[in-house]
Amino acid sequence: MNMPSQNQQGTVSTDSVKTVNRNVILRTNNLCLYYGTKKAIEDISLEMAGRSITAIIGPSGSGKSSFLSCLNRLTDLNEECQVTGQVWLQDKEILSKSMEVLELRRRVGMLFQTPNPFPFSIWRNLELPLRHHGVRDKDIIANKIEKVLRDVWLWNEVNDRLDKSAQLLSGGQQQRLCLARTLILEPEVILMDEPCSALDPISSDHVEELITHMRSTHTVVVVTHNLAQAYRIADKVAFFWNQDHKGKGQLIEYGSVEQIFKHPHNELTTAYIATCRC
Amino acid sequence: MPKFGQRLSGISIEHMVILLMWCVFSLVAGLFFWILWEIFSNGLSQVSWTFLTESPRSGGREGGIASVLVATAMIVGICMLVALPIGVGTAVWLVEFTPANSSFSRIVRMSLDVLAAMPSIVFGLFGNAFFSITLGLGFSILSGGLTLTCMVLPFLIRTCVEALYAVPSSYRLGAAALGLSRTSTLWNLLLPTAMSGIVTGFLLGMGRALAETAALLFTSGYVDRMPESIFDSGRTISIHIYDLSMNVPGGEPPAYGSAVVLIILLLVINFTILGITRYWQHRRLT
Repeated sequence: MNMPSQNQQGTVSTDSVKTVNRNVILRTNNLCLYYGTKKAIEDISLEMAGRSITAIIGPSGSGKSSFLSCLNRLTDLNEECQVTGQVWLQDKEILSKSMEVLELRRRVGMLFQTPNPFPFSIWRNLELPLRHHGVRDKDIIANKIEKVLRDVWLWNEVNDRLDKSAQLLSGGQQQRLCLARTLILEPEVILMDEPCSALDPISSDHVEELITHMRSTHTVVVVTHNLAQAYRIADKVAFFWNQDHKGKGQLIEYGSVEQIFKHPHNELTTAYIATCRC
Repeated sequence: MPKFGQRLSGISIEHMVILLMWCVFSLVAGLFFWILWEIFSNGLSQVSWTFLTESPRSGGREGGIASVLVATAMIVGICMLVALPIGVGTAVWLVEFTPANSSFSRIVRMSLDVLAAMPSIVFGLFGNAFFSITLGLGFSILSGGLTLTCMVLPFLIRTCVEALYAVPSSYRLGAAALGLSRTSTLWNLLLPTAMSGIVTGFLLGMGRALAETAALLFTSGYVDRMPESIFDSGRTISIHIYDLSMNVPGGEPPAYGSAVVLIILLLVINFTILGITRYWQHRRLT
């Protein structure tokens, strides 16, 4: 794997992460997730700074996506799922019963691996979540839609066909539309589950560039199998591993991108990074 | 033995399969057009404005089918009006609010399968015993409509369930991740997406209701005068055709005429509802 040099990364460096004052916005404490009786992730404790990008890397089955779905309680959709431990969004414990789940999901948006625009027009895809969250004024809706479409560099490509089906867009455009749909609710945190893996290289580059632009405005947690991408975009990296292949995902190492990629402390991290360099 | 696609005496097996499929298709299409030809060639001459606006006389040999059309509209209307909310509601409950592997859900699904396979005469007997006698509705349009509801429901529920299952789960996940409530997801996303399937189920159900005779003989009866309320007895167009061809000597010509009207009615209903649905979907989705 051809690892890009540090200079190409712009702002990404250990020092920048340490020197910039970024309050911890998302924190997990001994987070465990069970599917029935099977433990999928075990005792994950992580702190994610605001306005930064945290990449979660690790092999398939190491619990990366499961971890992500705990952060916006999508785990609630699966009746077999049980989550223990604590997840704090700023000063709110999101696993507590008092947490308003729909409001949580507005504050913690999510982008999926495969673009999933609804089978409606581009306009309706963006209008639906807004209306649901109480925005009724047509002018405000129109302004917000234009703004988010510009933010994801889609406005010039689609402004003359907003009433056309979103499913007529290319894969990359669909993924950017889904990102716009997430952004329109003005979330503080955006979770991304392998957002580029179903896209062609050019579309993938577009989405990746968008993610790096979001560093200054959002807290991004991105699961990726693409180590080069993690190196390019992330401020911090968490390495998950499936111990003994028994299905229990564990956090092996968490640190700045430089530390994880250049000076990993754990042998497993070293081996994983090294394997992917081959 | 030649492999698939290998040439066999100059004709590949693939060509033979295509030929076979064309034969099957021609057989089905031919049968359909044959039936249409048979009915239209015998019955079209019977259909006139008077035939549609006059009530039957002399056991149906004379006059028209106005009262029959009114009774049909009332019975099928009651049937679908009751069946649609119950059918869609049950399907939504089964797909969206009950785990597919729960024992209760399995029992409901199994019951639906059994009910769908039940001969319509059994529904007729049940309707007679329950609606006509126990509930005291007698031989009435209401009894007939409700009996048809019971008969159509398994069909409708099954089709709606399939339509809802066909909605990709990524939509549900996407909606949940946007903080949409279950009700909003259902109303704004799942039902519009599944609408074409639901309408198909509705049309199938309506077609079955229109074509039904056995379930109505013991419930709505076959009085051919103009019904004044839903508590009057009334005969549907299918029962009228049955009665004319089986019980009325010389009743064949008006029977063919009624069959023409029935087929045209089915086609009109199909196209109208499809048109309305497309318009509604377009308005809702854009």
